[in-house]
Amino acid sequence: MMRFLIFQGFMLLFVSFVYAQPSHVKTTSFTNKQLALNYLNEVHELKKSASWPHIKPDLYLRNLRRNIEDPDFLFAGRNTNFCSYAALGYVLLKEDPLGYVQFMVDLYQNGKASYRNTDFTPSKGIKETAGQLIYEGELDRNEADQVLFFTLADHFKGYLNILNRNYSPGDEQKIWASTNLSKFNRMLRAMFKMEIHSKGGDLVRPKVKNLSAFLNEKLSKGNVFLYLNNTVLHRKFHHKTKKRIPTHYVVLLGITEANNAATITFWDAGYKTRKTINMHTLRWILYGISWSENKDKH
Amino acid sequence: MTKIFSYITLLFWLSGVSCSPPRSFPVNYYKENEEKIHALNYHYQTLYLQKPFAAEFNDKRFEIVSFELKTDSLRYIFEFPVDDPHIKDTLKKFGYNPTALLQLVNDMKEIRCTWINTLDYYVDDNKRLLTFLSIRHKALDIPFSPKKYFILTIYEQKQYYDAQGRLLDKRNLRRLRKVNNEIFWRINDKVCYTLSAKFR
Repeated sequence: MMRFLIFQGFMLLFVSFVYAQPSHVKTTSFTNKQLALNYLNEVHELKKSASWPHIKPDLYLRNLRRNIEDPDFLFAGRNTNFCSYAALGYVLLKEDPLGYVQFMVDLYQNGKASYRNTDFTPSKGIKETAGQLIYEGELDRNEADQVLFFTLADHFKGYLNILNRNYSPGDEQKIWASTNLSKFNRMLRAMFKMEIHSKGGDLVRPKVKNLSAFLNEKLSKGNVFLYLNNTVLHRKFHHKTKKRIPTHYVVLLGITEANNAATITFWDAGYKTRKTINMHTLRWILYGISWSENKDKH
Repeated sequence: MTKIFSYITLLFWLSGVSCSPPRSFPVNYYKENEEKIHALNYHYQTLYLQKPFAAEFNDKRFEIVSFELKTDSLRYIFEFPVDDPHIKDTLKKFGYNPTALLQLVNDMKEIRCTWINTLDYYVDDNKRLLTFLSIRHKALDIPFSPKKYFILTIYEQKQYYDAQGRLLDKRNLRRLRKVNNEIFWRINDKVCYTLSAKFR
């Protein structure tokens, strides 16, 4: 144990030297980002929307601008089940910032909007609640993020949501907002132009022989999302017994392996994080891998 | 029949007693360690303002420490045995003061603090910070009791409380303010506590 901890310290130091630019998420071209900012400049200000009674238009626009300028800070809140929507939103901001702001402005002004081929008509309950979340850290004042997460959670449903399909206040922390892997993949397919592939499941871990090589290969072609049991990456208690179920989505940005330890860099709802864990642990916590491949390349 | 009923009642009563920490624990603990807690908070906040970080003890024996080092672009998470000489190199490399951080770790160990972090909260759209301290004490290590952590939140401003001593939201004094989804109780104007199953 001690040896491993010392080793992982060295690994992390080494990797941080040789790996200064970790992001494998395809960076948006300057033009695309600039187009999104230009669009926001043209919009300039929004009139208060009757559809979203608690959303302040100035905060909404400020939040959109901040997201375009720095998607890393998109934050899912401290206690919500919004991690899957945040992971999707993070990549959406990188891939299609202009489409994102157009969709969000439309959604605010009209109370409904379309993105690619999907029509979103948020329910009355979430429209009443958006803008009123409290005690969730920065999400409290990121009103556009609240609208996005609520809208996605309201629209996409999986088997985990069967027992709670209609929103009631506080449901953002409950199964109403939870996301199983096939629902997550459905969301990715609806929101992205790219082909989406996946391995693993809600109860079955993916069978991959050389995990780090596999993930690196997928990273070289597009975006990679991991569906994890988060009791190791973001520990909240010190019990020895840990639930054997996946609980969290992150966006993988990089992975290197040496001496049976992996140093992973990932975006996790508000932060890019780098941590070294042993390969056995990574395999143990990993339940699902979803990745995108750009259709244009084929 | 009456005897059986009495035994069952006694059993329930005993299990209730054994599964709950002593009610006086939070206030007594705070009083006994007040100076050390505030010294730790002051020390942490001074270092945090120089460069943000959080620190955690990963094990019951307080022998393995984990740092979350927050740079502009990345959050690095390192785990080390407390006596590992490489900690200093790592902290130095990321621009932290190793001596001061290791002193902080010793101070944490002394009061059995397992996690220290800064959290943001918002009042009238203004960002404010609080120190979030989790203490793992033997008094709370009770079988079947899920609440293993004694958590203190320390504020810069005076807080509002209801008649029962529960922390209130300044924006709406009829609403309880939750931190990490927990209700907090008054210790004094600027310090509150809760008992929790999670240390953060």
